[in-house]
Amino acid sequence: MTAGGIVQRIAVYLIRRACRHLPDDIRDERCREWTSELPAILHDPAARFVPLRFARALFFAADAGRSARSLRRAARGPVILTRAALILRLIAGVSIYLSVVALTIALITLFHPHNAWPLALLFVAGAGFVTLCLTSLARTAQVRFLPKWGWAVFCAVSVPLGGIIYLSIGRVRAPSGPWSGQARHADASGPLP
Amino acid sequence: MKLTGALERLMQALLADPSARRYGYDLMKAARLPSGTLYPMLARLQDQGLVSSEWEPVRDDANGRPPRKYYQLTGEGIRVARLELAQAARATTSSIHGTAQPASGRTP
Repeated sequence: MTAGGIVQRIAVYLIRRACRHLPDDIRDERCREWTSELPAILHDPAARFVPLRFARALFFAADAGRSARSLRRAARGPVILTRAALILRLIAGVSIYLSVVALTIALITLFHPHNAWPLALLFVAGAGFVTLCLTSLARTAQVRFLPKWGWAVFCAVSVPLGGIIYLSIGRVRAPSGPWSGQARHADASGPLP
Repeated sequence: MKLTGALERLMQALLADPSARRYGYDLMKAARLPSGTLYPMLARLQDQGLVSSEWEPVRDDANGRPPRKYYQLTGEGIRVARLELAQAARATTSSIHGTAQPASGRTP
């Protein structure tokens, strides 16, 4: 078997795995659609370097998992959490926070007198985490319990507790349209300028 | 939701030739988007009636290549995309003027 054939088989396997997440009614069609893109990627004349084509095909297939999860969320509709689910998430969030604190203390007590890098690492990780939370907050359409600015302040002031609590109970992962429909209202109200 | 950079690039790619039917990898390259971003976005646009899709008919000269799914803006999709891109361009221009004016006011 050629290298291209092996790559194609791995990619097909990854796509099939991703498609398992999908609801029954769209699974087969999506699987066929994504696998049908592979020949175009593997024989793309624009990518002259053959390993680049292989890398693209594998990345395409691996990223299909993200597509599948997103399509599954959209098919399910907005996720409405029960009170029990919220409490479980809160407990999970607090446990993650406590483990992070324990890990931080362990890192600092083990290395600090001799080495400064754990502190630098923690600082970078903290800054990255706050950025991640604020990005997620900016992109989400809806949040629970607090207004958006409240969550933003909590995430930025209390690192990492604020961010963890936001991600576990504050975030609402609802599928939303690319546009809220402003354009169509504008469209309906009169001819385009 | 706002017109994000990814959505803006996808709209520009689709609007480059509204009559052309494009397959996923073609759009990924044109809009510089990974598959995990592109397909959910296309699905949402399709739910909103802005994009339509159809399967390529099976051809004898395809050399065993499986038929692909093609996407295209609908009539309404073309109108909405043009309007949104124009609004986005206007917002960018006005924000540039907005920051430029106080600075130019201070210079003698």
